[in-house]
Amino acid sequence: MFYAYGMSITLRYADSRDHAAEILNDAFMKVFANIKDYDMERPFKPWLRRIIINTAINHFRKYQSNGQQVELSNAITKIGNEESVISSISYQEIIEMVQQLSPAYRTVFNLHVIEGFKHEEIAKILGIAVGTSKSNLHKAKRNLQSILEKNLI
Amino acid sequence: MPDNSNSKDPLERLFEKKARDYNISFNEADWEKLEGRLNLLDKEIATRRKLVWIAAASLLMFSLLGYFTYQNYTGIKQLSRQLNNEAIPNEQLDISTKSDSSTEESTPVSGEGQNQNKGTAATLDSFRDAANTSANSGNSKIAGQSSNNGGYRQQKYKGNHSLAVSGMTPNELTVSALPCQRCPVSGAPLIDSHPGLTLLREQAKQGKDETPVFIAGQEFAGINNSHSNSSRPFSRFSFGLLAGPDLSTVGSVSDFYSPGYTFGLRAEFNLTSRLSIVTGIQQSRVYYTAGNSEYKPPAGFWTNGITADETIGNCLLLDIPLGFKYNVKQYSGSRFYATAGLSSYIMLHEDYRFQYYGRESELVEGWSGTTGTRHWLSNASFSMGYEFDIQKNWSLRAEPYLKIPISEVGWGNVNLYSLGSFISLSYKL
Repeated sequence: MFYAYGMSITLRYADSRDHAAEILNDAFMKVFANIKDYDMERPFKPWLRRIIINTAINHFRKYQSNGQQVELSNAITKIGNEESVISSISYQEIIEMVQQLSPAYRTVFNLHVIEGFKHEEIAKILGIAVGTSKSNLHKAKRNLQSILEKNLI
Repeated sequence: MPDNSNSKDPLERLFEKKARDYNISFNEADWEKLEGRLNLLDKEIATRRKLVWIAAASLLMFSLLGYFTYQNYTGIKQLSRQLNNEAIPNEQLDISTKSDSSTEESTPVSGEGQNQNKGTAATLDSFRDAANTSANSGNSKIAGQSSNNGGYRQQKYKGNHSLAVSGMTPNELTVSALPCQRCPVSGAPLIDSHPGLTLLREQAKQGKDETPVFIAGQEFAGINNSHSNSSRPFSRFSFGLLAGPDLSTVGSVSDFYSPGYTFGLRAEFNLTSRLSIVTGIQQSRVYYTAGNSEYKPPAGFWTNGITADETIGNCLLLDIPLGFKYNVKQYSGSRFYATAGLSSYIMLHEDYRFQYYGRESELVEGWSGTTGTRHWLSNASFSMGYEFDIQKNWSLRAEPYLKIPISEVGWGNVNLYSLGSFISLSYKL
C-alpha cells in the first residue's frame, strides 16, 4: 500500500531505481524498528514520509564525498508557456530528468520544490550554508531547464 | 515547514505537479530484499533474547549455589566454634589420638587390651580398671595418663573436669560405674550432643562433695561417627507439594509470550541413597505465541485456506512426569541433585486467538475447547536442584527445569518448550 508512495519519494533522491529501492528498504527497516514509537492518534503517511526523506538525506550524506558534480551545458533558454508540450511529459520522464542532476542539486531541489522546506531549514538539515542551498537550487533549476530543452527538441 | 508562497516559477510548478502524479507498479524483487533483511533481524533478536535468558538462568543458578554453599559454610563454621567452645580445655582433658604426643604423660597401664589400635575408643571398663589401679596406687584423681601400648588408653585430668568415655550413652553411665569414685559430682543430668562429643553431668550419689563433674564422651578417630552423615534417616518413600512459574514457547526456546504457572504433587521411591524414581501429577497453565508454520490445526479449519500469521495459545493441561533423580553431591543436611525423565500431557482446556496482518476481518478469530487429548511421553524433562533439610523428615527444594518436545501436543499440534522453576516441600516417610 505504501510501496508506491515511498518509491515516488525515493526515486527523486536516488541515482537509479535500484538505489531508490535500497533507500526505501532502509526506510522501512527504520519504520519497523520504531513502530512502537509511532503515535496512533496521528496520521501515518506524514510520519512515513518524514522517515523516508531522512533516510534519503542520510544516503546523500554518505555519498556526498563521493558525489561528482555533473555540469551540463550552460545553454539557458527560458521555457516558454508551452503547456501543451510540458504537460505531456510523464512522471517517469520527470524522474529521469531529476536523476540526471548531481546529488547535491537534486537533494536541495527536492527538499525545496517538492517537500516545501525553506532554505534555512534545508541548510540546517544538510549542514550547509543558506547561501549554498540557494545556489544549489538555482543551479539545479538551470540544469533541469537544459535537460528539458534537450528533451523538447 | 512547507513554503506556501506563490512565487514558484513554472519549472518548479511543473515538477511539483508531476511529482504527485506517480504511478509506480509493485516490484516483487524489492520486497524479497526487504524480507531477507527482516528475517535476519528476527534471528538476531531471537539470539539476543536466548542469550539473555541463558545468562539470567546461569546467574540465578550460581547465585543459589553460592547462597546455599555459604549457608552450609557458616553452619559448619558455627558448629566448629561450638565444638571448640564446649570441648573440655586441653590442659584439663588431653584426648589425643596420637601415641607420640609430647604433651601427654605416658604411664604404661596394664589391663585387658580390649582395643588394640591407636586411637581406638577406651571403654568404661578399661577406665574403671585403670582408675582402680590408680586409686590403689594412691592417686585420688581420675584415671591417669594417656598411653599407647597397644592396650587401652587412660587420660590424665586436672581439677574436677574429667573423663573421656567413648561410645557410652548417658543412661548407661552411672555414678557407681564411674572409675573416679571420689570425684565430686552433682547437678541434674545434662546431655549435650555434638558430633564427636557427648557431655553429661550426673548427680552424685556418693561422696561428700557435690561439685559438678563433667563426663566427656568422645569418639576417637577411626570410629565411624554416625553424626557425620546426613541427619535424615533413610526412607524409601517421600512425597512433596510443588509450585512455580512456567514459561512456554513453541518452535524454539525463545519468544516467550507470558508466564504461566505449575503446581502439583510429587512422589519418590528411593532405590538407593542417591538414586530415586520420581513421578507425580501437575497442573500447568501455559501461554505461548506461535507463528504461521508452528501452529497446525486440523485440516480444513482455516477460512479459504488463509492461515493466521500469529496464534496466541492459552492452555490448561495435566503433566504426568516419570523419571529418575540422582543426588549428585550430598552434604550434611542438604544435597544437589539432577533429574531426567519423560512427561505425558493431558490437555484439559485450550483457547487460541488468531491474528492476521493486513487482511480482511471475516477470517476466523479464535477457537477454544475442552479436548482432553492425551499425549503420552510427549516431552523430555531435565532439571537440577538443591534440597535443604529443614527438619528430620521435611525438606525444601529449588529446582529449575527445562522441558523439550518429543512429539507435538494440543489441538494445534505444536512443539511445546517449557522453562521454569519448582519450589517444593517434601516429606520423607
